[in-house]
Parts: sequence; structure tokens; C-alpha cells
Amino acid sequence: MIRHLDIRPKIILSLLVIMALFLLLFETYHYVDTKQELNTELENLADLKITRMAEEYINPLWEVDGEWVEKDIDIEMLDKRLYAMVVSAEGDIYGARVRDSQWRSVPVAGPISGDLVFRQSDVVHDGEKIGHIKIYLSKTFVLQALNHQIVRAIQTVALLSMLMLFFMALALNKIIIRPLQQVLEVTQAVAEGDYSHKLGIKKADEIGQLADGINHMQKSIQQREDEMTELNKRFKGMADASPLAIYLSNSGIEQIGEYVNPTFTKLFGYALEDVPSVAVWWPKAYPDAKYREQVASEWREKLETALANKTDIEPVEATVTCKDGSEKIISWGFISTGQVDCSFGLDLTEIRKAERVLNSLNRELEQRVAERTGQLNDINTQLESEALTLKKRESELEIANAKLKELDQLKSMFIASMSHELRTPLNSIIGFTGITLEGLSGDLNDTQREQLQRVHRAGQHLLALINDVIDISKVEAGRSEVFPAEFSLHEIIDEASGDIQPMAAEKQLAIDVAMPAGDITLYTDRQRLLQCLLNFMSNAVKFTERGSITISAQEIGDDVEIAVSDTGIGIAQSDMPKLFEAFERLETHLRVKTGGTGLGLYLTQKICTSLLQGNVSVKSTLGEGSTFTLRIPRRLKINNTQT
Amino acid sequence: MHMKFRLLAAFALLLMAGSSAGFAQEQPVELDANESPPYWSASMPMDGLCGEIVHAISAAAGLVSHINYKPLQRLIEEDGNNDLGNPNFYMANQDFAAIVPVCIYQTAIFYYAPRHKKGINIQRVEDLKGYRIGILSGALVDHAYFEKAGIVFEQSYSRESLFKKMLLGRIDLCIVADMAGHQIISRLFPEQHDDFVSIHLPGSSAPLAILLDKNYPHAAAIGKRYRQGLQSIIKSGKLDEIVLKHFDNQHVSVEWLEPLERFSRVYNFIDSEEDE
Repeated sequence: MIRHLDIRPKIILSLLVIMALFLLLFETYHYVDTKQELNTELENLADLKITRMAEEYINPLWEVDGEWVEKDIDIEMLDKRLYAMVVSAEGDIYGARVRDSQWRSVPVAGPISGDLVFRQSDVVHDGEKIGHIKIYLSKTFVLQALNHQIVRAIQTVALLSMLMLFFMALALNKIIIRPLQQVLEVTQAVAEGDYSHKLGIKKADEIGQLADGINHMQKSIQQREDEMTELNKRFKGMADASPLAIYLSNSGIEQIGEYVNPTFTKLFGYALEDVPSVAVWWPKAYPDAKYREQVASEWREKLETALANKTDIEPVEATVTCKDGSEKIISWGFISTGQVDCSFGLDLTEIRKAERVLNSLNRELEQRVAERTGQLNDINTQLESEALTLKKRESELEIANAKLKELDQLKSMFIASMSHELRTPLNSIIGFTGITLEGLSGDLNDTQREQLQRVHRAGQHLLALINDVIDISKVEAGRSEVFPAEFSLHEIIDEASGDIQPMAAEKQLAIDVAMPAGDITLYTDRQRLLQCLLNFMSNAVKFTERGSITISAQEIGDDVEIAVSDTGIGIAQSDMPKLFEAFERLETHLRVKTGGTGLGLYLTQKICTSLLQGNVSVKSTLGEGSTFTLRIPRRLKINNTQT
Repeated sequence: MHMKFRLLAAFALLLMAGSSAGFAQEQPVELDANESPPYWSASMPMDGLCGEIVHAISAAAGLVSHINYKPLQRLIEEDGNNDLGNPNFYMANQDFAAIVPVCIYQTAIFYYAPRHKKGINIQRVEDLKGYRIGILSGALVDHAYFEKAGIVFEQSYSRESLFKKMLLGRIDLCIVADMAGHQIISRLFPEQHDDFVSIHLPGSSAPLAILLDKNYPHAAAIGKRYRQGLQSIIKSGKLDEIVLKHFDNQHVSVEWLEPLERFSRVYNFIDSEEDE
């Protein structure tokens, strides 16, 4: 029954029970304590009384005054706590009183018994016992006091409980219940769709937080409802405008129809009143019972599949009979929210008709494609045959190329070997002719000197030629070693300029050096680079009659570019392709005068590309001069295969 | 020696006093007495021996007397009332307009013979020394005299207590009015009456009188009327009749006439002095 009570009586009842229990516990403790205290008090009283009486009765007993004793006993018995009293003494003194049922003091007529506190004492006068006193204090008054205590405790408990309950109820009403009622009123209003109420509870405690929460919730609900209304409106608008035929019904067993959109009515001719439930709609849509069962069976199958795979229900295509008797091919989809079932149908009637036409065209097209494909297959077979022939030729060319490379390498090895064999006797020729020309072997006449000088020059020319051939052959044969080291670009250019300076001075040519600010450090084969620079610069001096030679350098990314320009005779464009060919010397009026092996530029290009990982280029204008440029990486990449 | 015992008799015990009556007949004279049977007793017919004499005197004098009973000590200490008893008890604290002796009593020493096999012989005051002597509270007038003599008294509030204590051996002897003592013994210990011994003290006769307070209205006139009443009942034999009744037909009253006359003159002299 309590469960159905409101929160106020529940709280009040709970508080009442708690307070009553607490106060009962307290009063029980108080009762026990009081009982003990009263018993102790009674014991103490008995002690005091007997002590006092033992003193007070000295005179009456000593005086053997029975009347006095009797009077004193009567006086003592005025104390209602005294249940009985017996005084006995010499001289036939005997006084005894006991309480009757009406608690009157009457003479003792029998044994004294009951729940009593007993004390006795002799009465002594000058050390002589002159009498004896017995007193019996009744616990009746203690029990009465305790009973009063119980009654008072009950009254106190009741009164305090009611008072505390009253005040706590007031406080609860103000602090909790009233605000909760307000909350309840507002929540009920919200439940009825009335959002106009707002809780005005301004508190920082849980109630206040609850009120704030409800206000916030109310606002959120209202906002959501507005959104839902708007959404419903939009949905309805969309549903009304949807090209799909939509039928909404509840998810109950009867599947009562709730909405059909205009497309549904337009498509099938039925309004919602015509098909108020699915049970009415189906026989109209599928009047043939057998076909209807077939469609239903397909639905069940799709539904079971969807449930098993936890996927959406695949659409079911069915022919629906319209109100006017015509038939429509509809692709039905189905979704359910658990509360609302939505069947939506797409009219495929025209599509299916078009598909039939399309299928016919497809078949015709496929036939044509098959014919064309046969033709193409023939052409393809022919092309594949030609491709095989070409591939065979390519393979033959590759083999020939490899043989050529092998032959070229053999050639280089041969030249290197032969050049080395030639250089040894040449050194003897040059050496001895030199010694002879210097007169160390005796005086020579002019003819001998002229002839020996020719032999000596021819030997030096041949030695230079052989050296170049050896270098080229080593480079081409891959036997030339690279010794990279760090060095200054300025330093090597200064060295090259210094080496060429005597040649330039003989022809009164100036050598200009244009270097960027700051030093550039290179890591490459210093000797090979110097060889290339000397080749460029010696060529420039050879083919320049007047003017100057300029050597310049610049950094380009990770590379360095060194250019040697001259104001010499220049090179014709037609000669450019032959410029870096071996043993090629261009036809100029300086050809005989300058001499040369025809291997300098060829060797320089080989060194630059094969050993220094760079390249060379040339720009020239006939009659104005040429610029030979060498571009190499600042830091040579070490390659184990590059030896 | 007689003087000593007379003195003893004077302060000792019983004060059976009378008091004057209101002058107007219709208004009774209020008199205070100590319960001391057979002389004064509310429980006895006509207030005991002396009470009956006072009533007879009053009737003869055309007065009405009313006796109120109070403890002896209180009677002595109150000084605005009319008393009945031994004038010596009261005269030290109070002035009286008239003192009218109406009865004679003798003081006796009692002891319980079984506790004193050899008997007790008291001839002089000094003979009391060494005994535990019981006396009624208020009856001892001159403490200093006896203390000087080395005699110690134990006072009790009632004569009955004195005899009971004596029986229990708590005191050796007690001093009370002889008739009162015998009356108590007969009442309390009738079977042991003979075990109690009384010693009459020679020359210990003392009056019991009506004492009218000096400020009591018409006290002197009322005193005269009481005296006339006394003379009247003596002459009429009423006094003898009353005494015979209380003394087992012994004509004790004859022995009283001379001391009554003597004490009347003594206290009448006081009245006369005051009259002057």
C-alpha cells in the first residue's frame, strides 16, 4: 500500500519511523538508566533511613516509651516508600506496621514479604544494645516511577516525534516536496505537450540542478518536437512528392493503414479509405489467390534472408492490379521501425517495356559484335606474327651489339698493351737523342743536330700520342683508377693557370681568372680534373692568336661548373659533331702550327664522363672564340664498380 | 535536713497546679496542668484528684474552670497563662496575682527491689550520690545545687518511662509524687507492685495550687473566690468526700488541713503584698 503513496507521506512516514525508533532507543536507555538509578536511590534511602532511625530511636527505646515509639513509627510510615517497619526492644517494646492493600499503615499480622529493600539495625545506647529496628522499603514506587517514566517517555516520544515531524515536514515541504510537486506539474504538462511552463526554482542544490535539468530537458524536448514536426512536415512533403508509391501502416498484427501518398493513389487508384489495412490492400492488389500466395512466399523468403544476414530486405517485384483493372509492375521495398511499416513501390512498368526493346537491340548488337570480333581476331593473329619476327630481329641485334662491345673492349686492351710496349723504347730514343743534342756524347754538326732534333720531336710526339692512347684505352677498358680527395677549387685553377702561363706568355695572351667569392671545396680525383683543365687551357692557347684566356667557375646545385673561354679562331657549326671524336683534328690554318694527337678532347670527355661523373660541352662562334665547359659533382660518388 | 528535703520536694516532680477562673460566670477560667495522675489527668473522671477538687471549688465559688494539659516543661516556660501545680515550679519565671493551694502531696523515692537486694537507704541528699536517679524532665529546679553535690539525674519525659527504666535497671531509683508513683506501678506493673519500694521523704509535703497570672483579668478577685470556694467545700465535707474516694477511704484530708492553711497563708501573703 505504501508503494502507492505519494512521496510526501512516504517521507513523513519514513521520518516518523526513524525518529520514533531513535527516540524509543533513547528512552529505553533512559528507562534502564532510571531504573538502575531509582533502585540505587532506594538502596541509599534504606541505608540512610536505618542509620537515622538507629539514632532517633535511642531516646524512645531508652525511655521504654511505647507510645513514643508508636508515634515515631506512625510518623515514619507517613513515608509511602516505607512498606513495613518493626521496632523491638526490652521492656516489651514492640511496634510494627505494614501496608495493607490500600497502602494504609496497619499493624503487622503475618510475615512481611514482597519486592522489598530490607534493612535492619540494632539500637545502641552507651554501647548497650537496647533494641532492634527492621525496615522494608517498597519498590512499588520505583516501579510506579518507572511506569510514569514509560508513560512520560511514550508521551515525550510522541510529542517530540510529532514536533520534529511537523518541523521536518515543513522543511521537507519547502526544500524538497514543493519543488518536486512543481517539477511533477511541469513534467506532466510536458507529457501533455504543454511546454509553456517553466520551473522557477533557483537553488544550487540537487533540486535546483534537477529543475535546471528539467528546464533544459523541456527546452530540448520542445526543440526536438519542433524538429520532429518540421521533419514530419518535410517527410510528408517529400512523401507527397515522392515518385514512389508509399503505404504506411502500424506494425501491429492488423497493420492498420495510416497514410498513402498521392503517387500511390495515382498509380493504383486507391485512397487510404479504400485500403484501410494491409489485409484489405493485398486481395485488391493481388486478386489471384495463387499469385498472392506466390508474392507472399517471396516476401517471407526475402525477410528470412534479411534477418539471417542482418541486411536490408531486398525488393520484391510483383504485378499489382489497379482499381481500374490495369496491371502495374512494381518493385516493392519494405522497411519497419518496429512501430511503423513502410511499403514503397517503384513503378517499373515502362522500364520493363523498354527493357524488352533493349534486350532485342542488345541481341542484334551482340550478333554484330561477334562478327566484328572474328575479323579483328584474324588481324590480331597477323600482327602477332609480325611482332614475333621483330622480336627475333631485336634479339639478333642485341647479340651483335654485345659482340661489338666485346670487340671494342678487346681493341682497347690491345691498344693499351701495345702502347705500353711502345713507350719503353720511345723513352730510350727521346732520352738518348736529348743527351746527344746536349753534346754529352760529343759535338754534332748542324745536319746531325737538325736530324737528331727531328727524331727527338717525333719521339716526344709519339710518346704523347701513346700516353693519350694508353689513357683512353684504360678509361674505355675500365682499368683507370680514381683517387678522390678533398681540395680547393681555387687552388687547382691557380695551378692550371700557372702551368699554362708560360705558353700564354710566349703568345702574349692574358689569362683571366673569374672565381666566385669564397672558396669551394671539391671531393674528386684532383689529377684527372687538372688534366682536363690543362687540356682545355692548352687548346685555348693553341688556337688563340690574340686576346685572352678566361677561366671561370660557379656552383650549380651540387655541381660545379668550370668554363675556359678564349678569343681564338672559333669552331664552325659543321665541325661541332666531330669535335670530341678520337683522332679528329679540325681543318684550320693553325693545324700544322699547333700540332697534337687528336685525342685531347676525346680523352677529356672520357675522363669527365667515365671517371669524374660529369660532362663536357662547348659553345663556339667561328672567328670569335670558344667556351669549353666542364660540369662535375662537387663530391664524387664512390662506386665499387668504378675502377 | 528537713529543709533539704523540703527543698527537694519543692522542686521535684509533680506540679499539680490550679488556676483562677474567669470572673464572669459564663466565661470559664482556663487553667493549664501537666498530666500526672492521679492528681491531674485528662483520662480520669473529673480530671483526677486535684482536678475534681478544683472543679468542686469552682462550683462552690460560682466559677467554671477548664483544665488544659501540657508538658511540664512547656508549662514552666509559658509565662502568660494560669497554672495548676507546685507554685515553686512557676514562680521563678512568672508573676501571679493569686496562688490558691488546693491539695497537699508528698514526694517519694522509688526503687525496684529485685535489682537492689540489699535495699536503698536514703536519709540525706548525699545518700543519693552514686545512684542513677530518674526524674521527670522540667521537675529539677536547681541543677547547680545537685551538680555541686555530685548527684546526677537522668531526666525522662514521662513518669512511666522512669518506672520502666527502673525495672530494666537503666536507672536505680526515681523521685516522683508518692501517689503518682503508686498509681503508675499499679497500672503498669500490677503483678510486680510489691517489688517496688517507695521511701517517703520526711517534710517533703508540698502544695498543689491554682496560680492565676498577674495579667489575667480579675485575677485577684477570682483568686478570692477560689479561696472562698475552698473553704466552702472544706466546711461542706466535699473535700473529704473527694479525697476519701481517691485514698481508699483514708481520711488523708484531715492531715492536709494544717499544711493547706499554712501554705494558704504563705501565698496569700504574696497576694497581700501585691495588693498593697
